[in-house]
Amino acid sequence: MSARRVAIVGSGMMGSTLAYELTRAGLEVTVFEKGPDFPYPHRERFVETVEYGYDDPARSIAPDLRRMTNDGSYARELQRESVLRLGGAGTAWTGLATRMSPNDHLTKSRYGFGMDWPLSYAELEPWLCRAEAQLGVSGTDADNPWAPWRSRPYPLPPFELTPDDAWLAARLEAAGIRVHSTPQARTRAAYEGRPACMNVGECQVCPNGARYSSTHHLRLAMATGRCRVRTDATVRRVVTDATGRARGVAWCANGDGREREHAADLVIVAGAAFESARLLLLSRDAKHPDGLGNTHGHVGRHLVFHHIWIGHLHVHDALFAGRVGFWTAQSDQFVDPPGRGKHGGVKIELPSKPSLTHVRDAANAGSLADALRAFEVVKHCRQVGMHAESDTTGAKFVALSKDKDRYGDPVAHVHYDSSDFDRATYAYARTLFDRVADAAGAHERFFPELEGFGAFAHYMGTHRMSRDPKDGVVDTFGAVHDTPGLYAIGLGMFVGSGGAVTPTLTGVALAIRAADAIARGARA
Amino acid sequence: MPFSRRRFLTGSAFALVAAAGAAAWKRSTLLPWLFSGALADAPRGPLADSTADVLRATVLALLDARVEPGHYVDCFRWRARHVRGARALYERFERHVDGAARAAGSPGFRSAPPALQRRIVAALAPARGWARARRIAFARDEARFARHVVREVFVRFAATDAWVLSGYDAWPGMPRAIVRAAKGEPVA
Repeated sequence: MSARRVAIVGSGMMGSTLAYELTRAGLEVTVFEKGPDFPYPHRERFVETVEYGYDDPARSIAPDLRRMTNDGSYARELQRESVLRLGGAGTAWTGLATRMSPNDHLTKSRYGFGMDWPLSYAELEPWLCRAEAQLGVSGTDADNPWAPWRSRPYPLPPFELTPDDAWLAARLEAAGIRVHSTPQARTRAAYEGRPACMNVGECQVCPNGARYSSTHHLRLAMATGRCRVRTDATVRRVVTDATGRARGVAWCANGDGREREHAADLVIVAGAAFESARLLLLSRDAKHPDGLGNTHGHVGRHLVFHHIWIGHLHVHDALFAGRVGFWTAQSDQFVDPPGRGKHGGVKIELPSKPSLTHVRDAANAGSLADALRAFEVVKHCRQVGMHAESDTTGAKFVALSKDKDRYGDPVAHVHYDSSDFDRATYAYARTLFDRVADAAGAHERFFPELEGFGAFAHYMGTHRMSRDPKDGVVDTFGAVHDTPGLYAIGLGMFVGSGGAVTPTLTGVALAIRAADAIARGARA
Repeated sequence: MPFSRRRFLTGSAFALVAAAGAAAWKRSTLLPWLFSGALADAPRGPLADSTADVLRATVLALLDARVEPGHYVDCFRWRARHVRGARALYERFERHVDGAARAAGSPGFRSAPPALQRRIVAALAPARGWARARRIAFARDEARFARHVVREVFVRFAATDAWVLSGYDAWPGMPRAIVRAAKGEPVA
């Protein structure tokens, strides 16, 4: 059947990518975004938050619509982490665009944990190149001996290491730790309508689009005249017909609450991993009594986070971390270490930022003297992060909560407990952090406790891929195994955490690959 | 003893109010409101020059002459135009500090001696413990001045001038030269 009308639920990185690719292929797309509009480039937001320190509530979704619940050992409130607005988390990320290695696709067969991906690195590689071209990634592999092979160079040259990164790199090199440049979706030179980075050092709220934002391509999709975007629109369920095929979505405008139906030939659920799983679970019908895609009970079950511990160290030299914007170095040396399987791999992240605790202390001072005293240490300290992979267990999952939103639908509930694997990974990460701190000659160091990690929107696996429908929710193109006409595309497709690297680039590659397949199907 | 209709209704009303209070407490809306010093709703609009001048003097009284107060005043002007309740608060702040200056024998805050200006704004610094509780109970505007004027000055200071005073070329948020930075040269 030829599919012309596509409904996409979620306008984040994957939803925007899909909208762009599908409209380019001639399809008619409607994007539903639960959150409010968020103008691009994000200059207004930059002025508000960076220049005037104001977080405009009009740019946030109502609390009941962002609400979710979580328990277990994850110490943070997940509902505070979600970015519900046009463009989603793709408007607020740091831009790190790293590739998984071939071994990250084979953790079961190589290391005995998790499950192998049904898609090899070699199969995905051409789409990783396209994803890098879409995001405008600046980088090089010339200084990174652990970089996975590539068929095309990065679209833009790399950023030079900042002076404090270079200072640290020299000391770590002497201690046997190799630091190299980090690929980032930030323009080293003007690129496809985006200006060259001016180095304002606030990548998460880039004012001019130098750091890639998902809304860049969403705007291009809208410019084709074939993409309609509905903001402040909550999709309550996917509508299926008597045969069990997806036929559209039931949605409400957040302002009036009246339910409407939107007919489509294809429905693509492209929200964050929690929200996508929730929508599949809410979309029950006679053929799918436990929710769409859930015939074998996998929806929400294989949730996994990256465990990111951010420490900081203090040294006698004045580093002036944060003097130049803000992410130029990392080390992949330990992403695939000899002990992998007993514990996870770890990427050393080197955000060129001082400890924000001391900046906050200055803000909380009651006098100039106190503020300056608090700030005195800022130039002597810097952050060091440990970005770790994790495993899937029965104690990490998404289900429906007892709490409900304004429409009476249960919100997402996440249970997340660290595993023995995570505890071993923490011990390994702690050892690495101490090696870094010792090499730097740190006279003071701070590293969080086991549960002091953040996931920073790296939520994966809630509708994982599988070749056999018994093992997962979607195929490698995101097509839901048990529901014709329905796709679920995003980080929820991941099988495990996808190694210790930032997942966004791989997610975009999966979305472009899926869009190609959908467009081919439409043409057929 | 049987309940009269009046006692029943009174009891029900009390129970209802208590239940609503408990619900609000549980949903964490009452507690943060009480302690937040949130701005009272009022129209947005441009700041009068006299109010801006008082805020400029306040910045200098808190931070001394080592900072250029212009961007702090820009921030107050921007908030007055964009944030409901900010302009009205700044106007009340002006009246409050002018009143304090006059009480100390000065014609107004702007023309008060620097030592008096410092004393007046120091009294509005964010407080802790009982002093904070007293403000919340008996002087809610003072709590708002502490949060939205005095603390705001230090928040902006920590985000801007503190970086430069401690040796940075510029503060985060300003465009800085990448190539010069990589060579270790000044970036601003």
